[in-house]
Amino acid sequence: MSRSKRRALSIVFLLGLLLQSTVAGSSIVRGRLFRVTPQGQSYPAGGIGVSVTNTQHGRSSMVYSGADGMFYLYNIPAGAFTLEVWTARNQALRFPIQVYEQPYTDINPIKVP
Amino acid sequence: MQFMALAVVLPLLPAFILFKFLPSTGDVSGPLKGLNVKFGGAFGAYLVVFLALLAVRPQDLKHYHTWRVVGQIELAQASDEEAPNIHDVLVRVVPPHLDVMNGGTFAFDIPVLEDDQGNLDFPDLQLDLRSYQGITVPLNNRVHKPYGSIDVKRAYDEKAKTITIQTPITLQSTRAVAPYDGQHGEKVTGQP
Repeated sequence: MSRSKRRALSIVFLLGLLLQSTVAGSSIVRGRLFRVTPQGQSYPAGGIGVSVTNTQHGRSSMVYSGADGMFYLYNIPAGAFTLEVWTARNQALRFPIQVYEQPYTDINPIKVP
Repeated sequence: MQFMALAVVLPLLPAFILFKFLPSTGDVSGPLKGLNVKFGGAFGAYLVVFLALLAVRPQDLKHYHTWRVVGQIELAQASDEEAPNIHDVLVRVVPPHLDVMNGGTFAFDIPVLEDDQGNLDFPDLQLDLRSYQGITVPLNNRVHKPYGSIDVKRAYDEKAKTITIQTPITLQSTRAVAPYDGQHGEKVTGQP
């Protein structure tokens, strides 16, 4: 194998390690969305789109809350993000959050309209 | 249906023009589907154009159109009954029947929006199971970044119009992981 090929392979290997370490250092961001009846009873809000965004990584893929109101954003690197809860098309509630390098970063329950 | 009507009617035009203004005794002969055929005059020309149109007919005659459904939902309840939140109404389009089969496999047809530039806008798959972590699988064929979603390998067959998700999608039980701490988690109070 030529020297240039070996060098190219090394770079690819190092990039792979870097990518792997990025994913390994990520967290699952989870939270719960709920609504409140006029009588004050809360219940899960399912089917609502959620994403995170920051200037470094851009906007994440959209995930949706389940029937229990829980949402799970996978492979989110540690850092400061804005959590976006899409209550309507092109209309989101936005919250600053901090994601930690740990298996799960829990977000306090969020009330949606 | 429209194409077939066109394929039947369109060949009449060149056949008529050719043999009206350029009288000819031309004929078409040769094997056709195992039979030796010989057609003469205008019908021969008609047959040639008709068969040529059939040969180049679009292969994806069965396809989806995107329509917009506009309407209004109202709720009727007893006078002493609590009015639900209108956002809680679930709307589902059937078909497609999004059912998971025995063994966990699934296969269903989905409508895909195509814009005026020919770009396809694939929807997302949302998988939910009680007491399991929900997963959203983006079907978008743009550059995939496993950021926000799980990392699944997908193969796109443009000709067969098939997306094959090559990585099994694992739903994780919430009982097998640290329970969700909704009281001491990252605070999100205060709107921007």
